Order: sequence, then structure tokens, then C-alpha cells
Amino acid sequence: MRPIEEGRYVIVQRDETGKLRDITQPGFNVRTRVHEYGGGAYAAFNNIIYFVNFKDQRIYRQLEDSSKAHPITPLKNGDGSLGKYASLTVSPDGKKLLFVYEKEYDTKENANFLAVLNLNSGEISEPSIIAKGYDFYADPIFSPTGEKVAWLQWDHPYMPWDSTELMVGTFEKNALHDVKRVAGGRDSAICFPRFDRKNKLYFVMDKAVGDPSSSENWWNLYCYTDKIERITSEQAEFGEPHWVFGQSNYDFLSDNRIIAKMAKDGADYLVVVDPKKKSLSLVENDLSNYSNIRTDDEDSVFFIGASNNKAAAIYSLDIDSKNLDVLKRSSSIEMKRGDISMPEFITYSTKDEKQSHGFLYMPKNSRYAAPEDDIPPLLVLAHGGPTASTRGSFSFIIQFWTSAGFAVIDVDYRGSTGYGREYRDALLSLWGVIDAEDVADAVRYVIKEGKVDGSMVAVRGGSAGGYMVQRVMTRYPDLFKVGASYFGIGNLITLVEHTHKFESHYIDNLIGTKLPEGEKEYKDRSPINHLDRLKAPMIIFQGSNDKIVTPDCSREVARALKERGIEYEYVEYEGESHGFRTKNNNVDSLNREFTFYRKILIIR
Amino acid sequence: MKGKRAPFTEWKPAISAEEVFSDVIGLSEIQTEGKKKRIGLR
Repeated sequence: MRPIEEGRYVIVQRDETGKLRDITQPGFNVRTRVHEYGGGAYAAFNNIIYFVNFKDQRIYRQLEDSSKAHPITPLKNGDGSLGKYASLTVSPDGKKLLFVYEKEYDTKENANFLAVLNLNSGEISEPSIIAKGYDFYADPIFSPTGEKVAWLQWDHPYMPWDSTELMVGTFEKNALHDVKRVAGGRDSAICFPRFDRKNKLYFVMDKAVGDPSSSENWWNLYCYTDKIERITSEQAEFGEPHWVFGQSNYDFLSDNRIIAKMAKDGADYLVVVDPKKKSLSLVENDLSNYSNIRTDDEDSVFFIGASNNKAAAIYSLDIDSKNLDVLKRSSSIEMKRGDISMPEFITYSTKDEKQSHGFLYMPKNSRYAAPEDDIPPLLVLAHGGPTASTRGSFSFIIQFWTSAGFAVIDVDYRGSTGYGREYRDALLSLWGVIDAEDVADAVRYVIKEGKVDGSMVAVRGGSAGGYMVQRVMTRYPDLFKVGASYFGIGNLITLVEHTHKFESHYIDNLIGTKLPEGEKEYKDRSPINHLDRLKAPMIIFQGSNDKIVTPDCSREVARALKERGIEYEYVEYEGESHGFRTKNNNVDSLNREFTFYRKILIIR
Repeated sequence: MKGKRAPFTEWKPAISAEEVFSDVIGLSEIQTEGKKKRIGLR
């Protein structure tokens, strides 16, 4: 994704000589809008690339040595719906394209399916639906022989990290036969189904067992032949919440061992799992964050990696020699070591005598030395989701703030992923309550430790993190002195009225009731209804095309701040959606936020 | 001690907002293809 090209997504190919070249031609943007978050927007087979183009959401076919791409799906379906496609995968014989299919209607809720396209003709056609009846589908894959298809499915009101089913069926004559549920159901969350080279089905699963010491409470690896067999039994996570398609936390080596990412105590580890021996060994290197793990036939492992002091890059790892090469960096900018603040993973006690986690960064800038008795202002970060996590890996934005004299605490409040099912589920019914308490407790903890100036505390966050900003500023008005809400949720009722199908019941689970009967609780958890408690100024950023948190939500908060005479700034970027993608808007928002904090915390 | 003595509130960022977002690309969705070691990245 290239901010400098208005956030355009481009497929880039690295050939065997290491040469990089753009496959995607100007005018195309490889991005799907399925579930609005997208992912899995392309598939490559031999010398052919299939991809979804953002503007029209059609699938295109392009030969890798050609600059021409031709659509193979229609502009509109016969029933008037817009076809959207994600999680694209080509059958082993190259004749079928399998994907998650979402029909978007103008007048009714979207419908989701599994579907295939015949690739022989190259003509434009509507897909053939092969699975329907569930609200959502994800991660369809062919077995290596092409005879089997496995996938995930789930229904409202659950999210994929609550309750999912792993299904498998025989694929023949453009249809699924002998479909059966392999694993999952109520209280089991499954992700990353994969067939190994011998057609054995692997997956990652956890269960709500209510016992954090049980390995079932953690996203562990399993496989299925005629029964489910547990492969790993760690108090660590091999899975991740399914927000986007096309992710990969593990893949198979040529001897059928598994190279996997495992999250534990706030860091990621790269491990090799031997499924026969059920043993696990650590691949040691200085990275602490891994994603998109893929192997080739020669035991090279490819992944996106980052560490505390290195920005994300694509790496290749030779599994025998353990030699690690950087193939592509996410940035050419290199900060001096003396300017980089390293995080400390902290675990602190919460008000209700549980534990929460976070990463603390102290100010660092080689050009300055603070007087010995000086203590820094604090900037609190609250990640989005809320079912997500922060990782303590290098971030230019965090380093911007720490080198500007701020201590930063990045909070993995309860409800975050990477700490087991019980920790993740702790937020169910209690969103805006215990997570807000955890953020406030994190601030109190670092103040009590004498590490930061409690009179200068700022808080920033986007999406659900923006909700957190507004929530803590209204619940703990004396603790936070200024805040920045990026496309944050001020009014939960407005959010539910406007939000899209994928998340339309997410909020119900997080609040513990639904509308209309839960209106009182929704109002109580909405910051907009507590602005009378707000004491501190706020800067609000919003994209005009955001379909997840619509401009109405942010404008409503801005209006309320204005009416109450509280200092605020409202910035709406034309054409931006949920998460700003263009460079200019990102630069502008960070500069405005910095200026706003300085004005409120320091210049005053 | 290196660096100019200055309270934390007077520090200026070591990296500008322009640099934070300069030449930065989002990486996602690696795919490999067989023995040719070809990968797609974005």
C-alpha cells in the first residue's frame, strides 16, 4: 500500500534473481471491499494473476508479462447487486478460482457465499455459488489434489473470534458434496485452515473453557484426519482475530514440519513445529513481530517481520542455515539508534485485582538531555479493534512522540488478543468499562512509579481506540488533559445504525445487550451522552468516506464540544475512509495533533 | 552527557511528520509460487 499514490495497493513481484517489479498497472488498485476490511485480493497461478480492482470490485485476469488486465466478472450482477470477492485461491489444476463472495445490495443487507469461477473461457461471467446459508464465510482452500475444499463459516451475532465452524467437502463438477463440520461450533474460534502436502487438514482453535491455564484457552494448532488431534499445547497464541482475509500465521516445510508465528507475553516468536513428535523449537533472531508466513518448495520461508528498533520488512529465511535476508523494507528512512526508544513490556494490577498489559516507551532523542529532576508528559495509545493487539514493534509514529519528549504507553487492555481466550473474552458485555479502567490504571501505574508527569497526560487512538479516547476522557476527566480521536466512536447507537454487516452485532456482544431493548445501556456507554463530564480539549479526525465510523458520528461529538464551549478541532479529510491512506492527510493529522497537544499541555 | 540540556516539553521530534509517512509502504499478503521463489507483495 503506497500512501504516496493515494493509498493504492500494488502487486509487486520478486523474481528468482531478486529483481522487483510492479505487476499492477497504473489505474488499478488491488483491494477488495468484502467485509469492508478486505484482504485476499489476489491470487497467482503460473504466469497468471487474478486480482480485485478497488474501483469496480471486479476480478481481473492479467498475464504477469503483460500490461493488460481484463475483467472476468460483470460490473453488476443480473439481480442488480454488486459482486465483491475476497480470499482468492486458484485450484491446483488452475481451472477454478475459489473465493468468498459478497453480494452488495442497495436496498437490503449484503449476502455472503463461497463461490467459484471457471477460468477456462476467460469470458465475463457471474460466479457459481457453492456454499450458502451462513452469514459469513472465510479462508476457503483447496487440498493439494483439488478434491477437497475446506473453509470457515459463522453466523450472527458472533464474530469469527467467538464461534466459528471448520467445514470440509468434496469438490466435484462445480459443487460441494459430502459436506461436514470438522471442528468448532459455539465457543470455539477457529482460524487459518491449511492442508499440508499430504492432504491433511490443519487449523488453529481455541475454546472458551474458563480456565486460563488450560491450553484449550489458547489458540493452538490442531489437525484432522478422522478425528481432531492437538499438535501444540502452549499457553501462547498461534491464531489471530480474523479482521482481514489473506493472512497466514503458518505454513509447511518440505518435510511437513510447520513454521509458525506464536504470540506470548506481548512478543511474537518464530517456531518450527514437528507435528509427529508434537515438539516445538524456537528460530532465534532479533525480530519480535511476524505476519504473512509463507514457504516455497525449497524451504525458504517468507514473512513480514519487525523488531523493537527495525521497521517492518519482508524477509526470507533459509530454514537450514537460518540465514535471514531483507527483501523489501517498508521505509527507506533510518533513525539513529540514539533516537530510538525501546519498549518495556509491563504487566500491572488493575482496580479489580486482575492484570493488564502494555508497552512503555520513555523519551529518547540524541539531541537533548532532560534535567535530572524533570519528568516527561505521557501519551497513552489505545489500539483499535477492540479485539486486536499492539506488539511493541518499531513504529515511526511512536518514535515521533518519544523523540518529542513524550513517554508513551501503548495499552493491551483486557479484550486484546495474544493473551488467551479468557483475556480476550473479558471484554464481552463490558466494553467501555474494564478496558477504560485498564487504560486509566496504566496511567496511574506509571504516575505512581514516578516515570511521568501526571499533570500532562494525552490520549490518542483510532476507531475503537478513538472510542477509548472519548470514553476515558469522559469517565476520568481529571486524569487526561487532552485527547486525539481518529475516526472514533462517540455514539454507539449511531454506530450500530450505520455500521456494515460484518460488525452489525459485534457491538451487541461487547455491550451485552442489543437495540432497542438495550437502549439505556447503549446510551450509558456512549461518550456523547457524558460530555457534561468532559473537561479536556479534543482534536477529532474523520474521513468523509468512512463506512465503519461514519462522519455523522464524529460531527456529533464535535457539535457537542462546541455547544459546551470546550476547546476542540474537527478535521474531515475528503475521500478518506476508515484509516487514512494518503500521505498528505497522515502528515497533516500528525502535525495538527502535535500542535494541539503543545498548545493545550505546554504553551498554556 | 550528550545533547542539549532541555526539559522534555522543549524537545523537538527527531523525525518529522513528513518523514514518518515518507516513502513508507504497507506490506501485506505474501504469496509464493513453487520453486521459482516468486513472491507477490504490495
